[in-house]
Amino acid sequence: MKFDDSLKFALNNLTTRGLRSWLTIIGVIIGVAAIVAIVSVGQGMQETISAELGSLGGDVVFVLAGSSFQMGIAQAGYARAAGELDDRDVRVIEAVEGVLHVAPDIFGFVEVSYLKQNRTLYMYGTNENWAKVRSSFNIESGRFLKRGDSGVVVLGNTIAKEAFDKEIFVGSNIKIEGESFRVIGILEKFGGFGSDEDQSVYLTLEDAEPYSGGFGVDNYYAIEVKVDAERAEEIAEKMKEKLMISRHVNEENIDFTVLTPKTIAEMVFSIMNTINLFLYGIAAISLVVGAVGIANTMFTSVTERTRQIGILKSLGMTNKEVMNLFLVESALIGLVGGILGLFVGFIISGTIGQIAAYFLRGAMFRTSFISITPGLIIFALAFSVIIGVISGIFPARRAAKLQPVEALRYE
Amino acid sequence: MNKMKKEILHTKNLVKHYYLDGVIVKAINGVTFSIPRNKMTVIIGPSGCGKSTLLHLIGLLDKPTRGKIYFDGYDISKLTETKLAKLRLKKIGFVFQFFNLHPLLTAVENVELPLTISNVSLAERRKKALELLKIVGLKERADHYPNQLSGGEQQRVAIARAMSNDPEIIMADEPTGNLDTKSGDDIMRLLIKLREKSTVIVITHDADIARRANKTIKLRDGIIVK
Repeated sequence: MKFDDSLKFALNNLTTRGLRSWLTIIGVIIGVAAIVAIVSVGQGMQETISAELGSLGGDVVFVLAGSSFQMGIAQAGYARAAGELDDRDVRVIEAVEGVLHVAPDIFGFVEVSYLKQNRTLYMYGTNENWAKVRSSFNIESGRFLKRGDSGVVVLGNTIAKEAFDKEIFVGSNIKIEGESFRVIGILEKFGGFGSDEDQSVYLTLEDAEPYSGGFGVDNYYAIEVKVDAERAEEIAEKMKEKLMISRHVNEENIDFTVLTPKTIAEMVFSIMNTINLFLYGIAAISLVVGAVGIANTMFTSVTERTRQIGILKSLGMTNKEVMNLFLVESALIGLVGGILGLFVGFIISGTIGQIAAYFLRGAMFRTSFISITPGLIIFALAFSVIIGVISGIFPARRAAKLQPVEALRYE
Repeated sequence: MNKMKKEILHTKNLVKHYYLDGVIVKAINGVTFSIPRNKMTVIIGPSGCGKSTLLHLIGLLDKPTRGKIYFDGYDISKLTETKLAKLRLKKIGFVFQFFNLHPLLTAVENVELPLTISNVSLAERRKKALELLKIVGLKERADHYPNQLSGGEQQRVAIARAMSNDPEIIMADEPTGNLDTKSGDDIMRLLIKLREKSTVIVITHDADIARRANKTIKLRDGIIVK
């Protein structure tokens, strides 16, 4: 039997059992849509993060106390292994060729009061160099911290404009943990990965020390280093070598962590990949359910059509041709489910992109949250057809193996 | 050689036993006979004597428990299932008591079915199927589905289908058993006409039909009786 005749047979059978066919196809649609949505959102997020990491500057290297690199950025800071970062380390780093600016910082959470409203906010303690290290950060009004400042604060843009009912301007006074501070500058809004910075207050190291839970002057949470962007990895490696010598440690007992933009990206992607893997697992389960649905429908169909199979075999159809007839049918279910699943998946991922864009509308992300590639389309369609065929193999074999005389007797 | 040319089929000590709900049913108990080429042979016998089982065996739809079937020179016990299917497709046309038309296909599509399986192009098979429907007097009902046709009409479609691949042998299992007298007569006239071109085997318990045959095989309790 020619393929187009088999296709006509399959279509005829599927349309005759319209509702059941559609219910089966819906099972495939859900599975394929889940995979398409997850993959396109996953890839889109990855592209977005890549772009945002790039925008942070490929020229800022972080040195953190502690060596639990594999535990991630924040954990590295908390690890507090034997060593602590101090001014000696700052000087060692400053001496490395290619290092442009060095800013130590500490952090904590503080209660900020303004016009009788209280907010718990993120606090950076740093020095005048921070603005140079983070050169992509600009001042919207006023100025950044400078050497010798005391009792003054710089605010992230969101803090100044949105955190309190009334906007805070340069020259206003706010209270931090009950102490009065004068606002001397407000940063421009950064968005994206700068959202944390938008929601922080910036104090001098001395002013911040009481609120930074163990960190302080000469005991830094991190040292941020602006380097020649072209050679960021190489300079970071040199910094690590020099610090290991000055701190008398080797690879085995290293007590600090150097994070370059590349390692940060690798860690973020590693986390994302883990999340993606989990989501793919969920999507795969829904596809398996879809596949079981196809197999169930096809088994039912074989039973119902036993007599028809008997007719076809009595007229001379071979086992292989009968099997192909059913495989074409199950592949068709997979294909239709795949095509519709693609559309539904695109709609879902588009909606997720819209929702993400809405909630992060201030964040100014530079790329969309979804990514739909020709590869994804081909993969989804091929995968759904394969799922259809695999699900159909056992029912089709059962149909093929029916003895013609027994099939003809079937009532 | 001469004998083979005269006979399209012969059997040797054919036995078919099968189990039904744990009980052994001895349907055919050692029958030896031959079917002459281009003649009409009637296998007659009372209900339950094994006629249909015998037709299924010589129609290559079932395998014997013991014994041999020689079909157009082939020892069918030595053939694979695929080869048996090809033989059914090319050399045998079936007409069943309950018509066995494909319910999702129209009359013309049913007639085309053996040609469709044989990879004949749509235009060619449609032309032939319509010609055959004309011969059985149903050209106007070509696009009707089996459930839109009467029993006699369905059986005429089944005969057209049996003829579509120009088979060497047409096997009819009680073709008039489910029809009224007039429709039954029409069907028999068609089958008698067919023996001009093909070998025709008809299974029946109707003695009137047996009288029109070139050869009659009488079956009782799974054996041939004189």
